[in-house]
Amino acid sequence: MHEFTYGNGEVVELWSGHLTGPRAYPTNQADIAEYFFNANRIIENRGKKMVCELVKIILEQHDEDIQLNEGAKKVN
Amino acid sequence: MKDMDGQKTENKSLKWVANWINACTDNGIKPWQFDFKRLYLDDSYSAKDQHAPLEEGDYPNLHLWLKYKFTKELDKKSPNISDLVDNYSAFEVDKAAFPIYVALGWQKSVNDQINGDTVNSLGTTFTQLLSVSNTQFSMENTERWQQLVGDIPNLKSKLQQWGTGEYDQELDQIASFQFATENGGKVKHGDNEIAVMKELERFAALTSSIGNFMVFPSWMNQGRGIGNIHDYWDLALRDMRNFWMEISGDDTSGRII
Repeated sequence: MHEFTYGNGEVVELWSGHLTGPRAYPTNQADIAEYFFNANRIIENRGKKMVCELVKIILEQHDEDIQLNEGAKKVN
Repeated sequence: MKDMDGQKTENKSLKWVANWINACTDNGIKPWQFDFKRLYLDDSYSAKDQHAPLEEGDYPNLHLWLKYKFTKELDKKSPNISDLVDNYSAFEVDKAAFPIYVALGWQKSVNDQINGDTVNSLGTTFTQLLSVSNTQFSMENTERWQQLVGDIPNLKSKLQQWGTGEYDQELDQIASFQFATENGGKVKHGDNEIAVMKELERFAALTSSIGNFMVFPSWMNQGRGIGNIHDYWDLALRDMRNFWMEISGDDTSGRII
């Protein structure tokens, strides 16, 4: 679930130049569009990994009261 | 070895998570796209309006976000929230996801100092887009508000009005503000591939989805909203990484998330 950093630990910028720029806020329409686009991509990718992990955890436990439907088992 | 209360919390959490994944998939919703604000609605798992192809001038996710953020209409104990979550936390989407944190082994008790929070926020950026002061669009926004309502409204009151009750068609007007019209022109001429209103509407839901929830100490959460970070997660992470490297002298310890 390392979507916020690259493999070497460097932080993924929410828009180009954000980490080296002078302002915390986006400064033009391109930054704004890139912020929402990148945040959406990161959140979805991380969320998918979390759901896969949750499905795996549920499938590995042995409580009869905690079951996934067939569709849910294939959600990965 | 887990104590009995811990085991009970874990079992109840796993059960809630399984039911949540089942409800999502039964209704054609990808669980990682589920907007946790919908837990407070009677039709939580209706796929209607959620990530459907966006029709021009129709922003249901943004409407729900405004309702959550600026009104008290969703401040109710919903049967969809796990009874493991106390009444106070039940009104915060990132706290209502507590069973997920337990299932993943991130949190043990609802009262832990390390608890859930939303990583990338919409409020900070969104209010800047419509504000008339200290933004790159101050002049254009002033003009737009004058045309729209004949005055410069109190932004918080206006956002509260847009979020109250049924969908307010006036909300569609946000697409006529400079950040959106300028982007529309760029997209039309091939100078930008990202349609900002479409991404903003998606973000209004995804900001409250599980991929945007994380657990960390409550003091850290309070600190990242102030100073030069203004809630932007990449800046917070960079500062944490730099600090960690400074005290450890170890480049690899920057891999913190």
